Amino acid sequence: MSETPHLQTGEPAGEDLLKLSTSHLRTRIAPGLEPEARYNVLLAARAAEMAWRDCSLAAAREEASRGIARAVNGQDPIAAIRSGQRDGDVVLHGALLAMTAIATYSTRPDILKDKERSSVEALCE
Amino acid sequence: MPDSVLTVGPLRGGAIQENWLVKIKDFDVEYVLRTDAPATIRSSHSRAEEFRIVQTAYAAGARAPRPVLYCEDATIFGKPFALYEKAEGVALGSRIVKDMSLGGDRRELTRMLGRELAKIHRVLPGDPDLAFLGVPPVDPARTHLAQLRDTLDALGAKRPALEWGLRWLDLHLPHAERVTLVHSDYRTGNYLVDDTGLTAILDWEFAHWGDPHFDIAWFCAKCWRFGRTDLEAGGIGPREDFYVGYEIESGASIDRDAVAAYEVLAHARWAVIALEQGERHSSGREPSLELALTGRIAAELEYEIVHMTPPGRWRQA
Repeated sequence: MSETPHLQTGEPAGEDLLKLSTSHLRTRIAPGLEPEARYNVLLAARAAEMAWRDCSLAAAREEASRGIARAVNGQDPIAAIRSGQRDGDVVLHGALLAMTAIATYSTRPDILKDKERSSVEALCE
Repeated sequence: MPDSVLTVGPLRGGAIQENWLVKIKDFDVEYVLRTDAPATIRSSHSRAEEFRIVQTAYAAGARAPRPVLYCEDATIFGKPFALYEKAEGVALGSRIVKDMSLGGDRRELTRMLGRELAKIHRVLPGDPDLAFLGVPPVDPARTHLAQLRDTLDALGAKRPALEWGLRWLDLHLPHAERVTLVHSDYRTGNYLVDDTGLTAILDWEFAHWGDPHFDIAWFCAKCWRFGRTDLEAGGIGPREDFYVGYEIESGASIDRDAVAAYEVLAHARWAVIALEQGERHSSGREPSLELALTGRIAAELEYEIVHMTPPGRWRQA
């Protein structure tokens, strides 16, 4: 056993443990449970998977936020949109597509179009 | 609780209110008791108001659960409650869209749901029992948009994609040609079916005066098809079957363009409700993994909104 709290060569990384534990919940634990308990276990597994994807996309989310700020020239995006100054704005729409694709990858990657999913996966750290 | 009440137990479902199953000695019929949850959301009526809405809709011929009584006396159950006859069947949307043993003939079920909605829309402003709903707004769509923005502001939610959709709706939602009672949560997941067909329409707590296209679009919106996006009427049947049922029962024509715009509103509204649900958890009022995950649904709804409102689909103000 290592005497240091830091990971040593050959030790499974935290993200691997998280993936393993959610897979374990889904494939080993949930199938044997009664419906109510199974539902709750799958809910917990889903939350953990989301949290992991959130972490892997933190930098991409920040960049997407900056993309929206650039599209509204540094204005408050909410005020700019509500005022009608950005009606149908192509650049802002593109920035919103990028932001929402990243956010949706965290929660429901299955509903993204294939090309969008590939683009977001390329941003995962 | 009186001795004649045999069992009272919580029922699953009802994300916003609490539902309890009640059995009474020597009664064949079972009952559902509804009370307010510890925390609720802004647009939800009280149980007393909901009870009067269901009474009115039931009297108009809508297939609502039969309303039995409303009790203000908090000494009976610890808080006021409404009691309804329990309708049998399955409500779970994800099961209904997959399990073809439920609902009977699906095209008939789809038409039936169109007809039932038309019955609800027979209830018109001026009904004294629904005076608490207030005077119908002159422009229900824009009144609703203002309420959604107020809710976002109250939550402190900064959501550019959602705001983009709301702004598109400012420009594209039609002015209502008629105003009726709208159920406001008429969708798969909020009706019961058994193996022969529809048994009851549930969850009346959001009903208000509005444009009937609001309900039609809510039922057909992609976000309420439970993965069966090919079946545009609630994930259970073709959109045109639903429209046919509605148009035959109501004698009114559905404006297809109005429904398309209201479907964007459906996604925006569900996103705001999801954020409210998430806030029930994050505020600490009602810690819950289920509520927390509901809050995260807003992201996928915004994704759909942005895809439904590309620059080429904007008209000038």
